[in-house]
Amino acid sequence: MKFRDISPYLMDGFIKSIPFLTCFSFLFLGLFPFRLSFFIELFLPFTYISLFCWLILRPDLLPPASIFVLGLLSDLIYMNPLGINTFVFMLFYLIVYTQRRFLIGHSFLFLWNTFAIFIIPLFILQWGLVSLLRGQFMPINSMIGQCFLLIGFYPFIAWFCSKLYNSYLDDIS
Amino acid sequence: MKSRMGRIRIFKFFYRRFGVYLYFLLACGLLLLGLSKHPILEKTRSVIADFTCEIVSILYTPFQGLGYIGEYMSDFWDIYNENLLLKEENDKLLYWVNRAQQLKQENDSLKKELNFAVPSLGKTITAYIVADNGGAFTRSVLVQAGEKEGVRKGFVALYNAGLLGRIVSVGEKASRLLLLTDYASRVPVYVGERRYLGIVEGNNSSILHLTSLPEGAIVREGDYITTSGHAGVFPMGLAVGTVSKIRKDEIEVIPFVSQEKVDFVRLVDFGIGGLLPSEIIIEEKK
Repeated sequence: MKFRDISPYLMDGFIKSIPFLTCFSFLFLGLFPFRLSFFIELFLPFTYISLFCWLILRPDLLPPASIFVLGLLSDLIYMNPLGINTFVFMLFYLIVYTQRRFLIGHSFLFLWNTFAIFIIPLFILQWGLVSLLRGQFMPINSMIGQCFLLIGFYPFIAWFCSKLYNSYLDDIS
Repeated sequence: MKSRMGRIRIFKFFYRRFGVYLYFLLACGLLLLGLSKHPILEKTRSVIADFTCEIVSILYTPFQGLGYIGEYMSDFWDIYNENLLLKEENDKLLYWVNRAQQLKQENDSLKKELNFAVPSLGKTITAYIVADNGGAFTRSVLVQAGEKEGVRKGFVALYNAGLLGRIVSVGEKASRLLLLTDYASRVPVYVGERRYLGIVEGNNSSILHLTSLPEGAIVREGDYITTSGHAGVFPMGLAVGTVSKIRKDEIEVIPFVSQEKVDFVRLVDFGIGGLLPSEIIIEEKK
């Protein structure tokens, strides 16, 4: 079998893995040492926005196994207690996936608000879990700042994901 | 053959219907596994740190310019105020340079008289910071030096003369450095000229807090804070920061080393055992 025979399959596989690769890249983007006090104090987990967008646009390309892997990687890369991000990512998946049918076809503003409604309790839960597992109350200020900034960044990441969707994934089954 | 196909179909049906819950349960299992603090977790994190270090050093290259532009913009913004501060600081420094030279001469002659053995700095490794892997709950960075370069757990990280943190886990090519500003960080220190014993605590922001001072201790803004050497994690005399604000219930400290200004660190082995490694604690519990 020659390369040109398998290259369409490879290309198809690559395009279908765009949602996972986007989330994976955003996971690593948080690690870049930007040397800006803004980013150091308020690290932004953009992965949540890309997960939200892809779970609405193409949930079939982000199966639960991939969410689990992303969560586990996130736990191991960042120094959070093991399982926290995996648990929160899976919960986020469950919430978005089950509510997807009510979200499809709505305006951008509606989705932005919905993201905010989903993410705030999730961050509080994450803060509570980390505090519980570490046995002390973690500072809540940076968590609140992180949460609201993440909501503020939603349009940029959502625009990027929808561009990718329109360019490559709109007509792929 | 038919029954095998049937079994696969049943498996697929159950996986589609209950797969999410299976992964959800696995995530709960991970939480419990994390609580056990098994040494294998630390090893896994070290392997992942090596892998992360490689990926970030490749992916970050195109973004490096963006980071420098941001740094340049924020420097440009502060240029006027910074200039005024620098002029003031320069006057003070000129005075201290003269004073330091006098004191050095005096110190050298006294050491000669006493036949004093100067303690040597241990093994030193200079390494680049390749990734900021802190979040809202942690302050740590990845440095591009690991077991191969001779880095070990407990090495102290310095930048210029200031303390930045210590190495908490070591991979083959990368190590994780826990910063002073981390919420879990507690450093016993001496405060001011009277050397009051206190503890500097991190709170996941760029400011540290000074606590556990003895009753009646008089602390002033601008007092220097150095490590006391207690608890055996850091040696005595490393520069930690200066007291910046004194409020009724808390004392704020600005660290000498600000994380956003640091590109590389010096990892020094002072030969201090420090806190017991997790493996030993677990073995003792058994």
